[in-house]
Amino acid sequence: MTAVAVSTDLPAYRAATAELAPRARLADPTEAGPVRVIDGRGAWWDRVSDARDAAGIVLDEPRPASEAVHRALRDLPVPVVVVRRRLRADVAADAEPPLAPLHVTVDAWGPPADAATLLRDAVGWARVLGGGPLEVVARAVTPLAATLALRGAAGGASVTRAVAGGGRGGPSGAGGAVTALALGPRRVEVRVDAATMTTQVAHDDERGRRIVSPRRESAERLGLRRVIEAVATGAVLADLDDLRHDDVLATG
Amino acid sequence: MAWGVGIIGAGPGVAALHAPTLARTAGDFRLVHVSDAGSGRAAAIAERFGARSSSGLDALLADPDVDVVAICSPPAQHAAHVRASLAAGRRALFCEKPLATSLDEAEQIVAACAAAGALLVVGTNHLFDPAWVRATHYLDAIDRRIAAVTVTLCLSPNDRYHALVMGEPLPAPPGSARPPLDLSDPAQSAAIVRQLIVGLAVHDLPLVRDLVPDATEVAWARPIAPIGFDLGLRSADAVVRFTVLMVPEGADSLWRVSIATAGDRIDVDFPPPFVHAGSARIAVRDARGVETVYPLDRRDGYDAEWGALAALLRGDTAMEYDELRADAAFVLAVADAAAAVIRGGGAPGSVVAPAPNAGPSTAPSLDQSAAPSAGPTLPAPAPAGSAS
Repeated sequence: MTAVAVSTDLPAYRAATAELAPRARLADPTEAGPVRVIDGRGAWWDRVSDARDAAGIVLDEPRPASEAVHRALRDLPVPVVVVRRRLRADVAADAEPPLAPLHVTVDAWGPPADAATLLRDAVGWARVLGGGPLEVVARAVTPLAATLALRGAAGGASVTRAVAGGGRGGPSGAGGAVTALALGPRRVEVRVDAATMTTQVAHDDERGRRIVSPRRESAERLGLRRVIEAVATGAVLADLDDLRHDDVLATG
Repeated sequence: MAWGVGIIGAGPGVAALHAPTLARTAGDFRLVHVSDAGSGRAAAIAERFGARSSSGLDALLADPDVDVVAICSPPAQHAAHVRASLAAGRRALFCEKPLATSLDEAEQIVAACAAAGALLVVGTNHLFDPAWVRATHYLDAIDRRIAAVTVTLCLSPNDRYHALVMGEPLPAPPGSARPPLDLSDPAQSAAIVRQLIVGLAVHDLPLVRDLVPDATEVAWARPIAPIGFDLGLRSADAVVRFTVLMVPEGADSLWRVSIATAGDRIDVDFPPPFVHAGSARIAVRDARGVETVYPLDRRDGYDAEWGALAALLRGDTAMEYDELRADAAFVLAVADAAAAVIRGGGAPGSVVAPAPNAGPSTAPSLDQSAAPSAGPTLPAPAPAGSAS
């Protein structure tokens, strides 16, 4: 087995690379064509554009970007995995509704600094549980909250994001929380809580509630593993398309 | 002393809820009379509880053992039955929600009760739920700037829960099945959504009014098949999302009100309808990430609403007619505005609100009469269980 070279300065990804040995190893500084990990803070799109020589890209928690930015990134010649800790690929698979939901609701709550990303990820959960792309049919915004009525091919969704901070404890440092519900005879409820670092997926039907086992793999290892598999198999990843969808709807 | 209760109406809400719930009031109330409109169901219910039965109103309103008239007839008849009760000299009324199906009727009922000095409790059981009272106390103790309120209902058929509070089922009343929404027919969709708001969302819209009384602009309203709706309201500072879905089978009912403030997020999970499973469950998560789950109260909103009437009868609490009027007005205004949006919206789910910062809103606003009552608020403490 040939170890895939990973270029990153981020400690969590260096640890994840170690956890993937012997399938992955840290790249030499001058090595050509490694998998590159790109920090999503700041103008991440410039760094992604500069990484076209990479075998694959892991984009870590990108801050929301405009449609023009996303348009410029279309047709990248390398597979891109987007790591979104509130919207992990494995958890999304666990949460796939057994029946098309009749409606989806997503409620998100978090600190001001995280507000835009929180709304984007809330839209992402609406897309995941709704089973496909959505469009905005109505939107209401206040200084502390936003709520969107969305519509997809199979049904509707409603997304609400409220901003915490300024309460008794001052601005929240605890991170956001998201509750997503696929409504219908067979319900799915996803609860993502940054403060407790827990994500729970529950399926409800007439027999009761089944709670899916928690995903223990680190988000960084999952991201690296997915891109390594895509590089090996040539699988096409939809992460950037999904990110564009969610960014565009959230930033409207 | 047990006050004798005469119930007008003999539907599932009487057989499965109010008649057996009276036995949970620690001897405050006893069922003495049930009347129907000729279906014969009153006799079946009365027999189970050792009460008398009749058809029409006259015998019940003339029954000397009836101290309290409980109006549990179809909503469109509530106003007439309140008026008839007052005309018969009755001064203690329990009216199942909704109080009325039009704003004029609601105003007239409350005014008539106030003029007569009649005690009136409307069966908005969530408003009386001890857990909701606790939640409002919590909100009062913190910085309660409300950012968002979301209400989510996904309800299984009621007969699942009826079976848990009745020994034998009663035949379904005729015409009780609501047709599924025809999403291609805005007028039909609007009418059914209005019914759902007036008859079902009325459980929680008084709570919404309590939290964000100025959420008076409809951001969107749309039907959801097979039966349900999705509604967005907006105020200057807060948004409200209200989603209701009735499903023909499946998971246990979900009935949740979530409140996001500047510092806390509060989830209130109400138990399914009809059953007596204690109060709602309240979980508070603060900005530090600490989650607190409060113990359940053994009493539920159904018990508490009858307890509130007993407190009024004893003179322990005072009537707040303005609150009743304002709650009813808010619900009816939301219902009318949502129906107007759906009727005028063309295809279901169409855009009904302008984009933010797009200038003056063209979305329907609730009539000013839906705003909180401008009348004086009573200095007396709120009735037990009342959060308004």
